[in-house]
Amino acid sequence: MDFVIATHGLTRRFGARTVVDGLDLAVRPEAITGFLGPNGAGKTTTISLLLGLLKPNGGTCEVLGFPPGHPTALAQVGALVESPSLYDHLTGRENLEINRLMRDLSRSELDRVLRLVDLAQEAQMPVREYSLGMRQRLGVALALMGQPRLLILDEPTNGLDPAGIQDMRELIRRMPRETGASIFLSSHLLAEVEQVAQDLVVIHRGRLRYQGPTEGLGFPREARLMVRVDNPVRAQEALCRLGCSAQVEGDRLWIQAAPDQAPRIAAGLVSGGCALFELTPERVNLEQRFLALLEAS
Amino acid sequence: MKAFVACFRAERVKWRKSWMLLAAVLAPLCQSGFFFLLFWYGESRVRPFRPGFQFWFEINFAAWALAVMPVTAALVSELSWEQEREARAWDRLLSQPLPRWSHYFAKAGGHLMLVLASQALLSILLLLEGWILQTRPGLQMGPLPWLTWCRLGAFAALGTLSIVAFQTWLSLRFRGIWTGLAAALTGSWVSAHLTATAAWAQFLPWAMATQFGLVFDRRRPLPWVYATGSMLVAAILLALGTLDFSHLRNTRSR
Repeated sequence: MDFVIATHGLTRRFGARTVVDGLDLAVRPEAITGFLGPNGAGKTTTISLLLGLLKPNGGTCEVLGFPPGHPTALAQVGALVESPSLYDHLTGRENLEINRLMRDLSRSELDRVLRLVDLAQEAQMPVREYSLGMRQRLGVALALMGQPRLLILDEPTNGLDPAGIQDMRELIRRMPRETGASIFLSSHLLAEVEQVAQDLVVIHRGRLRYQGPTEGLGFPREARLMVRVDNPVRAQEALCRLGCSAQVEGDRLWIQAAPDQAPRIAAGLVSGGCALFELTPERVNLEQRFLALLEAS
Repeated sequence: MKAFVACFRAERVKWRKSWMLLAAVLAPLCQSGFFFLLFWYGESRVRPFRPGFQFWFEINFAAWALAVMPVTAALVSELSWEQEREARAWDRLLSQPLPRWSHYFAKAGGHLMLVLASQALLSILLLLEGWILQTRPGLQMGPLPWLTWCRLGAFAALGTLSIVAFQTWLSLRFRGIWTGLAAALTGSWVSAHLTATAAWAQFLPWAMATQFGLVFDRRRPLPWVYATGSMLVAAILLALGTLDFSHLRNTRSR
């Protein structure tokens, strides 16, 4: 199996409104994949389609090699869709017990997931007394039951304060390490996803806008290197000798060159008598690129 | 079957500290307590219906089947589905590796179990309170009629099947406690009036339970033939409810 999630032309309509429009996804295993899009982009509908909660109007979809909603796939998928579904009158442990019984898991599974999300101390408290952050963590604990190979988390930081967001980010970051699961993390906040995700999928109005490595979103199409030196004019001459064209902007030079040219350029500048302070590939603001992608659509 | 058992066991966890469990416990307590007081303080009114013990069972099981049981079934069903709505639990339930029918079957089975447990509690309370009433000679209670107790209990239990199946579906479809209660009481009342005159009325969910109206005419046997209709109606309603439940989530917009 090459991909944990693979869709081809996945489409879902509600009446005349097309919410997911011919989506082609390929999510690789053992990675955190961010699923980005503004509110109403079709993220939750896509997740519902992946879990078999909704039926598609067109296209195909496979989760862990099975059609969506297939019991064999669902047994290996943990999901947190929108806000966690919790029974407030029950304790955290009792909430987990419900899933344990439905999935026919051992009792030790409760302690394992409670430890993972750091809720072991509060497990006997009624959920109605939980803070928002604790509820989200319990939601993640529910998704983690049965050691799933794929975790689908839909806006897990919704409504959390900055400390809660940081805790959740740490939890998500260490999950593939500790459990070996692949994570498909949906969010409308780029800043939240870019810090943990290796891959990104961006959708807007139900259509795919970007799919690839997170860094890929931040690189411009024409690669440039930025150089900061003590003497830009001397540096420009040295770069000419190397066959590179460079533009001077204050104490910086912008060079049309791919990142793999950096060692050669560094050596050329130093041998040309320049004091090299900084040499880095150009990165545009990820957020600007993300917004540009959305505007382009 | 394994999927149903798994769902049913999970369903039982949700009963803990829940309103539906409270309703199931309070219903027989309130009903039997009410009649106990009527008997205790109304010797002269009870005496014409002697033997008192038999009348004690008859009036309690009739009140149970005609009013309290349908109301209990309505309350249990509504509170149970409301629990899922409040928790927004559809996604959580349906993303488990279990077939969808097992969730609905477990819900209906859970409701039936609670209402039958409630009736079992009523039956035990009737024995205990009847034993206390026996201490008042003026009531002329007579010996404990075990056979009547078993017969009426079994008849009421069979009448429960179709009512629970109906209320389970109704509460899935229509939110609101008053809708459920109104349907329960109206259905029982209409059924009680129609079963004697219209043949089709025996296929109403309340048809068997409302036959308890005949219980006071001690010369007439209870119409056990209605049990077949009750089970048939329950099976049809369960099948329709399951289909509806499986389809419901798929049509919801996000």
